[in-house]
Amino acid sequence: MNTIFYKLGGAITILFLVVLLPLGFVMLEIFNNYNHTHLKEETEEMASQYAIMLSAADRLDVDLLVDSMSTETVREIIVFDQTETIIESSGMESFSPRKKSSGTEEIGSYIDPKTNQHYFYAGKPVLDNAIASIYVFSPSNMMSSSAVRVQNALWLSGLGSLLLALGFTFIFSKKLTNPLQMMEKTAKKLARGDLNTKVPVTTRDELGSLARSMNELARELKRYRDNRREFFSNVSHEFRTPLSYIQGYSHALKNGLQQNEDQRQQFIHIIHDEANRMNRLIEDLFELSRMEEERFPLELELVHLGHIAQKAVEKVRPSAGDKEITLVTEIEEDIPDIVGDSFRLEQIFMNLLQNAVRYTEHGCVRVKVLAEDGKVIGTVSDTGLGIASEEIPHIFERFYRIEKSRARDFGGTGLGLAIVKQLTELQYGTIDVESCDGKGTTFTLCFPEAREGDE
Amino acid sequence: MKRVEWVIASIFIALGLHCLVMAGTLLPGTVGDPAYFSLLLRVCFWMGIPILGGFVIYMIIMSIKKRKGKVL
Repeated sequence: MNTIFYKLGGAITILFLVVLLPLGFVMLEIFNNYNHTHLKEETEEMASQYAIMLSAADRLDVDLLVDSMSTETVREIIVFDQTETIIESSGMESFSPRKKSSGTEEIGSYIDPKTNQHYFYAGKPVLDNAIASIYVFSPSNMMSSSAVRVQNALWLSGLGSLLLALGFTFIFSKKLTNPLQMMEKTAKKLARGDLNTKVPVTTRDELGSLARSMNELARELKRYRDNRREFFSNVSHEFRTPLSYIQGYSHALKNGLQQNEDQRQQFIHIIHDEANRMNRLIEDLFELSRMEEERFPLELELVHLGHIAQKAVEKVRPSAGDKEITLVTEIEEDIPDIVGDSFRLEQIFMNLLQNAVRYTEHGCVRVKVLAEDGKVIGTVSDTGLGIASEEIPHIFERFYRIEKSRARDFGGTGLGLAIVKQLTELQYGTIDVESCDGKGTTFTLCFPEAREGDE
Repeated sequence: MKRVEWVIASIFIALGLHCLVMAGTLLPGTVGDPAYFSLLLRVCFWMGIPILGGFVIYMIIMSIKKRKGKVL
């Protein structure tokens, strides 16, 4: 019973009763008052008519009149003489007129002590020497058959209105509370971990908006849960490989399994490299998590993207030289400044350039910086392995590697592009990638020009 | 709403309408099937007026909102 349907339905029903019951009571009061007034008028009229009749009648007619009155109607009649003695009565002997002066009209109410019945009475003088007055008594609860029908019709229409109100209350309460009940069930399912559940959106009001928000929340929760699972799985996988290297080679060194000094040095190098790799991985993960939580401090200032790109190219040039790769720069001199953190922008270019050099065996790596339509655009393109079209949507995900089998040969933590994307977006920029499998890849960075007042 | 819930609500409404129409035909001079159905139609008409009025007002508000681009 403690559901919103019963509460809402009950409240509306009570509201209907609050309106209908006083209305019904007042209508019945009006009807009763009308009936009583009508009864009084009728009694008076009857008394007047009988008084006129008796003034022209003899004693025998009086007996007949009183007899017929007592047998055919519920009304009573009393006829008094000049000394206020009852001449004829249909059974109301205990009554005596209030006014001593006979020959005047009298109306009032009277309770018969024998039956405790309430009566309206009307007394009228009779212009006859023998008869002084006639009194007609009508029971106060007396109603004509029409009046009884009207009263019954009122009761019936009240009942009909109540039933009609209950029927519509039931429908409206159900219609209003059904979405809430569905949402409550969905919320319970979500709390139990069933994140695939959805609330049907049927309206465009606040309830519809709430349902949409709940569905959005469920989607976000599911995405978060999937990401977290994937993240833990990737982290454990990424750490397992270098750890097993370190464990294996340190065990070999501990037990003196190396054949000579060169091999010992080689084992130490491997352990050192893997330890470095793990360190880089931890640093990258830490940075990435801070970026995703939007707690990453940036020193934003006006910077020249061309200068930053040039600095990054110079840093990468030695490693490009080792692989006989040509580094080409096409940087426009008069490009406008952008708002960004110079160190982090350099990190973006460094990551892209290192990737380009890593995945390019021969050919060239080209860096362009130009201004276009109020934007500063930087591109890093290579003539390397390229990326398959089905891989492109995933390359900015954490730990996503294009060639999983050869990933370790190329080094890197698998977090570089995820960091690049986060850093770019934190500095109001966008990053796009175009690639042709086997022919090369182009990354395009786009930053808005600095406006006046940005410094 | 389930089918059984619609049935319950319909029974209430039908009984209510029947009571109202019976009340209207209880007095002498209004007896007979034609009087019953004629009164039933008129009761339904009066019952339909607020429903229709509410619907028209709702449609007007929605069209004004749509014109102002406030609809989600």
